[in-house]
Amino acid sequence: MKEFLNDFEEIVLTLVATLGDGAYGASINIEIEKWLERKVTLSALHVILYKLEDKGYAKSKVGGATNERGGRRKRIYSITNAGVAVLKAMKGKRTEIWKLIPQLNHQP
Amino acid sequence: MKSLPSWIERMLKFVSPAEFYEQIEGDLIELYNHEINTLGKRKAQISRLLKAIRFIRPGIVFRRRSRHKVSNLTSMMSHNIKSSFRFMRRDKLFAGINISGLALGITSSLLILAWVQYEYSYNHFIGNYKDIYQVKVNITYNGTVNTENGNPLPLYFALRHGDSRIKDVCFTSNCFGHTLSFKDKKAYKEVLAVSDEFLEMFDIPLLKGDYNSLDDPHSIMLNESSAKEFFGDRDPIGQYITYDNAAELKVTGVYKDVPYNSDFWFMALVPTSYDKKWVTEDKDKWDAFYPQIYIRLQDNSFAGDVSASIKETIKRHFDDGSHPQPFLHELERSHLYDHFEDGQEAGGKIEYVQLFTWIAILILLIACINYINLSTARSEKRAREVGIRKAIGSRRGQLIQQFITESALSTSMALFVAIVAVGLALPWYNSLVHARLTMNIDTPNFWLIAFGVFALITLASGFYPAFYFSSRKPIDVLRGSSNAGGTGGLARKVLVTFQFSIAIFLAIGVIVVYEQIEHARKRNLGYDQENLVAVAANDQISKSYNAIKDELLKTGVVEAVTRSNEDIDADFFTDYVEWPGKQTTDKVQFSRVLADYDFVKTVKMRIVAGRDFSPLLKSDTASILINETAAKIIGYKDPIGEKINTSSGYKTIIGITEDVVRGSPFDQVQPSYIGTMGDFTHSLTIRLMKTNDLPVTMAKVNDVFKRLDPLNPVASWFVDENINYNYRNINFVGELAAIFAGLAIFLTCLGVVGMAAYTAEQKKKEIAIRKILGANVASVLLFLSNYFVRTAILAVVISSPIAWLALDSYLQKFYYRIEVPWWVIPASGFLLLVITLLIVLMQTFRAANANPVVGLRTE
Repeated sequence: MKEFLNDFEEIVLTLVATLGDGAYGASINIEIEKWLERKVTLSALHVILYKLEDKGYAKSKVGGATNERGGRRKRIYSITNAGVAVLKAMKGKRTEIWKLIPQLNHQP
Repeated sequence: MKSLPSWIERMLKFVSPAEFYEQIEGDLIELYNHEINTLGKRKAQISRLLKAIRFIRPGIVFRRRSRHKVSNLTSMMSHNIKSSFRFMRRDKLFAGINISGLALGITSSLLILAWVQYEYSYNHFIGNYKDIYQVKVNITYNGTVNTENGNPLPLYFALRHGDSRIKDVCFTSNCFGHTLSFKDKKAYKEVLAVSDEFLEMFDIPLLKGDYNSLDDPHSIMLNESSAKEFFGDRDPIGQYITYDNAAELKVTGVYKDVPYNSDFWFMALVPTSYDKKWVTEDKDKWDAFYPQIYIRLQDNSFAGDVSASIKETIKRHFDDGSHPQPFLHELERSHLYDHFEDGQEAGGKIEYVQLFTWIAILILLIACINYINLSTARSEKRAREVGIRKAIGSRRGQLIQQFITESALSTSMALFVAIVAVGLALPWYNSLVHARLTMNIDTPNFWLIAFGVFALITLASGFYPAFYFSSRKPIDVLRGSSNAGGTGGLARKVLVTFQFSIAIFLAIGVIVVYEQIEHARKRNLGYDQENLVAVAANDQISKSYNAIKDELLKTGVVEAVTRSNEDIDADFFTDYVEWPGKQTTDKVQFSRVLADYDFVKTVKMRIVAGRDFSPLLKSDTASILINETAAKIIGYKDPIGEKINTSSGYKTIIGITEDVVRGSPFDQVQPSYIGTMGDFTHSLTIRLMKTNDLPVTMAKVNDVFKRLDPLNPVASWFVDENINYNYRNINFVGELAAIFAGLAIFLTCLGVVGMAAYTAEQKKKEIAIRKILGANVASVLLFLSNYFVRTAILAVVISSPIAWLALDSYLQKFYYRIEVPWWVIPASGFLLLVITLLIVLMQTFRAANANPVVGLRTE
């Protein structure tokens, strides 16, 4: 595995995958706050989205202006195959390591 | 809410990349509308503000702004290079001046920096050079403090056992020539006697043998080339070398040749235990300052503390207050910081090294200024190009790129020329600076330096023109409004004046330094150094001196022969003297020559009063001759017949000789006396008859030595050559400074050539109109050279007082010196003016002479 994402990046990428056509800055922000009950800095989220795109784990297109956002268009992100691969790999590795914890194996 | 407060919008627009700005704004609005329901208006506003401010972060601000540039980079680059080439070809004179100027600048600064680096690398062959300290001693006599390297031998033994802060101590003799022989091969080699610890402490790079190889008193280690010379490809280990035709020493090791950038010159090493007599005799003599002592400290000790305790150690062994003051001096500094005054480090070679570093920087600066001036002076020619480029959408950054590319191209061509030139100049340069500099194209360091120079020059010379050109408004330049008197003009004037000032300063400096050196060179040394030959003495020569002298005189080519304990042009041995009625309680030191009969006659000194030694008078063994300076110090009205107390007892003064300059020609003549010969003969001095056929004469002289001393090679030299060699060694600095100052002045002239040509070109129309209105060629020339003449005069005014002060303080360092000559400032100012005028006239004559129609028709 050449490159892992950090936890925040992983969550953002996972949400990009989950939200489908609804994955853009504000919506991801709201979702993270909902799921993880933690405050998110919007600018940090933006930087991570740009980085994910630079690395080729996500791609974006512009579109879907709504009234709610003053007529400004959204940048809608979607996950790429590479992004799916890295998420899967991370999950797999985690499960492998998880299995090595002795107490869990002995539980009824 | 439909939009953000306008200042937040502006802030966001400023910090965020263009292609993301709309989404950032949208997200902020959407989140605000979302939060207003949960948090309430006030809190949502605060949260929105915080969110917006946090977009000022590196990930956003420094994000590469436009990505389409990347795809265009290579074609832009090739376009830039292509158009730079075209521009150079169109304007060959200026491209030529630019490139050759830069090349000359780079060549000279590379040469200088190579020498500077060489000086800094002295003694680095010693593995532990950073950790080693040399013990130096401050000794006070005649009221002045002298700093010397020789220490009393017992100090070594005291240090070896006495101090826990000291890791190692070793001592060495001075380097002396000895005859080494193996079978029929014989050679004089500089040999250093070293104590046991030396090899390990200095980490001498050994090829054969180990750090214990000198444990046996009858062992010797050779350097690589000597080993090869004696033994060829055979293994030298275990062979026997005959030492001074007396002892057989076993070769126990071979070390790498000491490189040229070293103050240590040993070609062979012998243990100090070999010469038992010296070590046993001097073991308890605290007042014999001979061996050099080196120390390595424990990691957590300080040189200052150890110096203080060494001082205490030595104090115990001296009764009077003026005991010698030893101190530790870093071996690393020993080469560059080799001058001491009043017992304190006071510069030395480092001053020259720094001086030349400055000269290198100045030369590079002048070369860069030339480039800047020429490029901006051409702005009229290029203005339209820039205007059109801007009008069709070229961004400022792209224009800057283009001009930087142009200077990079010139610089790389210049660098290439310079590297070739440095390669060609190195042999000549090496003989000038007495160094072995090499250019190692195959080392990464070389390319690192080359790239560094390239980047530096490219930026220094390309930066200002790039910004100057790209800042101009397309509408102005296309409409054709001139910018000649604008900011570029002012900056150019300042730069030209600066350049001229440096040139004047350097010219004055060179003239004064040259005059000072000539002054010292012409100094009357007090004896006749021509046709004077010295021959190094060995035991055999000392023993059969009288026979040799007779034989030499019989050859018919020799006028007189004598021998002495040191050469006439050296000044090493000194002696404390006392006399009845001495005014001061300080110790007074005279330099001392112990010579055989005919010394005065051989070197052709003049006796001012009294008489020379006479072989007929037995009593003359207790007589001495003193020089005029010594007579002045002693202060007797008539010193002849008086007695003074020397280290070898009371001696009667029988004569006074004229002062003889024996050390540096810049120094004061030391008080000295000539006594009668002791046990030790350092050299024979032979006065040859005036001859037109020196080789035959020398062959006859050598023949005598070969007959009477068949075992040793003859080591002879001409005294005047030796003086010149030493003199050049001191003064190559002056020569070097003159050469590089000349180059700097030449570079300035090169700049004037370009500027003058452009002024003429630029003022074509003005010239034409003036001529139509009745101006003649002379007045046009006057008008064209006006600017340069004013600049030259301003430069003289600025730099001459600075030059005067700097040179005056430079000359103060010499005892035998000139004053700054009054004519030097007008002369160099006049010279600069004449050269400038000549160049300007040559360049502008055609323009002034041209038919005015040609000038006006160009549009």
